[in-house]
Amino acid sequence: MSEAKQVGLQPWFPWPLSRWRWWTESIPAERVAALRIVTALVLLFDILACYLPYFTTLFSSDALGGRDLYSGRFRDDHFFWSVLRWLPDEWGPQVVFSAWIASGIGLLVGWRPLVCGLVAWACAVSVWTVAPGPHNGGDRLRNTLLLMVAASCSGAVWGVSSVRKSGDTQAVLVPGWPVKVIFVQLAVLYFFSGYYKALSEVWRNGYVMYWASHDLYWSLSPTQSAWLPVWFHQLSAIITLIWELGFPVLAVLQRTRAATLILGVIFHLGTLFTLEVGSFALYSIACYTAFAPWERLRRSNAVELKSTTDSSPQLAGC
Amino acid sequence: MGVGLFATWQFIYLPAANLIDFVPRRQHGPDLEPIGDPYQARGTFTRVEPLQRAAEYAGDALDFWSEVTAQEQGWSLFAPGPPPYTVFPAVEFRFADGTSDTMLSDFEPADKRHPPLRPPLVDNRYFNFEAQFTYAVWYAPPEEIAKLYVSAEEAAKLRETYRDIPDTVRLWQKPIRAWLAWRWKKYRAAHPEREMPVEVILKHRYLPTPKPGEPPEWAQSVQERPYALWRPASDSFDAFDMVKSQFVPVGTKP
Repeated sequence: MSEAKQVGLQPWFPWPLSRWRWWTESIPAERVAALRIVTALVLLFDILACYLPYFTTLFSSDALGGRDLYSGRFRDDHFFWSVLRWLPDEWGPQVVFSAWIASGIGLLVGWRPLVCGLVAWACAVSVWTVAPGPHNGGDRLRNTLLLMVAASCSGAVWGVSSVRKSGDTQAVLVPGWPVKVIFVQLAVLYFFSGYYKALSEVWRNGYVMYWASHDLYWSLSPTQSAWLPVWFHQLSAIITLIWELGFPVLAVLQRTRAATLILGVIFHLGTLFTLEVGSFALYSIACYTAFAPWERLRRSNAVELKSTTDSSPQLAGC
Repeated sequence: MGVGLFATWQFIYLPAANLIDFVPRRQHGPDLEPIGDPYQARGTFTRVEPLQRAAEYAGDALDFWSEVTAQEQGWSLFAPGPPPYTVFPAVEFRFADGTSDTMLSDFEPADKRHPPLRPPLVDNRYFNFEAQFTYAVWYAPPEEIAKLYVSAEEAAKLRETYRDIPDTVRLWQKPIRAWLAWRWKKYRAAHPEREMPVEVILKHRYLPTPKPGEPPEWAQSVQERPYALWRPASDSFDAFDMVKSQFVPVGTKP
């Protein structure tokens, strides 16, 4: 039986978290590596295909940008910050976006993922804070996602900083808490959204999906949506409501976990192609990457992942 | 140990920052503008001052982390839900010679009976910027539109919601002005013969959605209502008061 290699600091946790195996267990490094790669791909797509075509419009002070357009957010008694507030409007956005793209590429190839992840997060925060106009809830999720990717030792495998050399099939384990934080983020996001939806009559009677899909401003495919029977819109609304409220439990239980996660990906893909939700769908799906058993791709059948033997902290790949 | 504390705090922070919204807290200063915290319950939940204050300190700590790390919580994802009509923003230019012209949103389909497919993602960043000017009036349609879906008595209650709308123009004044000026630049590029308008108006166009069971066509006429008025020459700004049905000067911060 091969021994698994432990990478990354196993942090100290206060009681009762220190006794909670779900929280403290290590996970296969492939899961966070996949999370890093997909997050980087989504981020680079977002920057290159969504931001850059409107870059001059959205980030020029003589168009719809400038560091003072939402200056009310930077009041002395609050703590919002942005690198773009410190740099001149003439070249600040170019510098921040260049650093953002470079850090995205760094994450993609797995080069110093901690540094690249933090730089990508700082750029994301800077752009989001100084210009909330072009953003939506998906960008708040992106901020959490990038922070956790940075902290996850995601370069331990499948990257240029990998601790596993080519041809080596030894299992590599990393601390699992960043993935658990992402799970908690998704769980509260869905549960509280479900709670507010449950208070709304149009969600309870299911007509909300009908109105949303027929809204000519928000719907990407109103003509096609109109072909669907009304009961289909109602059913999709009710399933969404139940799924959101149930996610924190259903995604944990062994029997319902896979179906719940698959339904989540279908839900986000559905909204991506039918509503103006933008990158929210992509960043959400990127979060799901960490929950798939990517370690099965490794060509080894003799590795017992639970047999962690090398407990000395190693920071390579972090 | 630092990593463990950070991880533990993240684990606590995410649910706590959502739950704190249900705990009434007293506000220390004025709301952040233009984007406040609409989910936070305001007031007090107990007469026991140390308990109330403890909750407020906890809320302040959560707010601090939300802002510093840009992980603001408060999720609703399409709740309470879109209304049964579409709201498009549009810009009207009024010229010194008495003529006017309206520039529609790039997202308003020309053929409303058969609106075409739109690609996802590629225009979403600009869409988000433009859509922010519709949120204040999303649930405050003209009464004639509301009467299509609710009783006349219920529609009349909308007048109460109209009262707060002029102040939203004050809140969003800077982004609105930037957008109106930018739309004028685009209009001018297509109509170089036109002089600078004397008035530029941001208005909303309401299009009723066919009710379930009705033919799936958006055949009803659009109703327009002004929202904000900008005079480029003096750079002055007015808000449309829907109760008085006239423009009123944008107020100052209360």
